[in-house]
Amino acid sequence: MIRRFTDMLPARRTFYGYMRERVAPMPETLPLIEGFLVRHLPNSPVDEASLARRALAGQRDAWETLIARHDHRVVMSLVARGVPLDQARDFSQRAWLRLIERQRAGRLIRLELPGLAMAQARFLALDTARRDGAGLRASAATQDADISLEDRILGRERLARAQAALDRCSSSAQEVFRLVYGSPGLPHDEAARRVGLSLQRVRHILSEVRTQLRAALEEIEEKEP
Amino acid sequence: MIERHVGDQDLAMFAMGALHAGAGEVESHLRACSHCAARLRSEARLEMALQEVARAPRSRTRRRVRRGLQLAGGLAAAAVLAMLLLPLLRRHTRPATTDGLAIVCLDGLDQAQCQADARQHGLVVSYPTSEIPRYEELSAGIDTSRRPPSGTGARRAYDNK
Repeated sequence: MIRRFTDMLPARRTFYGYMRERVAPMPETLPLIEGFLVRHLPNSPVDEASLARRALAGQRDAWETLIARHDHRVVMSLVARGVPLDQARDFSQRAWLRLIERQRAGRLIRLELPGLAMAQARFLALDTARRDGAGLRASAATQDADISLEDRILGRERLARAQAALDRCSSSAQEVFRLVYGSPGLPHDEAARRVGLSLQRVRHILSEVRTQLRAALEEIEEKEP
Repeated sequence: MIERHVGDQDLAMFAMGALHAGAGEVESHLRACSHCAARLRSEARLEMALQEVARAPRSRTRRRVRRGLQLAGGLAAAAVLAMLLLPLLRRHTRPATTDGLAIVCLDGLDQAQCQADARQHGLVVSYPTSEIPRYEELSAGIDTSRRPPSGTGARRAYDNK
């Protein structure tokens, strides 16, 4: 009988193996180390996964950083659905508080942002609109916007046209665009650091790409009856 | 509050979260002006659409076409490079027998130069292996055409003459 060669080898005793066996089972260790590093190396790039781990471990500064990073996007997601700016800010604030409460209660296992905060804020907006008679307009607008978003924004043709317009941009512009608008989406200054450009240059690139994609999307809108 | 409407550029920057100086004024105007609030909504929808575009997987066909084009481009570049380099390589590795011509470089002071020139022009330097007729014999007036033939029968016929 042929025995597998690997079966005959002794168990691996490497540093990586040690970390996996001993450190990984202690989920509180890694966020503590990461928190220590962030406090003592404030200029080091902070990645999203590390922030999420630390936030799930209850570290306040991690929550603050995450809110600063994603709050504007949450607010804009509500504004896009027809919620007035003031109310959108309020719903966003409440959504963050709700997430922190859930984490403290131990009911938050994963933290994928900004999607989770957007969903929470949207749920709060819809719930308020249903309960509040005065919010009927907002509710109608929200549902209306939902339909139009699904029909138009997620439309295959528009998406393909926008992607074609994006493909026509330079590779560096595409990279900047994907860093900022991709998931989870980096703040402009961090994207600038990542690609080695100035903040002004990154904003200029984003503005240009935005103009081109808007033109591509509007072109389709005009063709639609 | 700003009396006039917010400019397109400022509104776009506000939607992108990139407007810091004057953001407060813009925001207070947006609260009061329904026209600008509607424009902001349009900008916000564009932001959502851009996120969709950035997160959507790129189509496989396009990727395949792009890879195919890259491969074809690479092959074409390699072919052009080969066409350019081949003559150079040939020149350096060209064997001396390319043209199949042979010359003889006679003894003398310029024999080495002759051999070098021959090599440069792709000629073979070779010397005949058969015996070279001696000059003395030719100059003594010996008729070589009347020399006895080498075959036995022919030799006998020659002797009977």
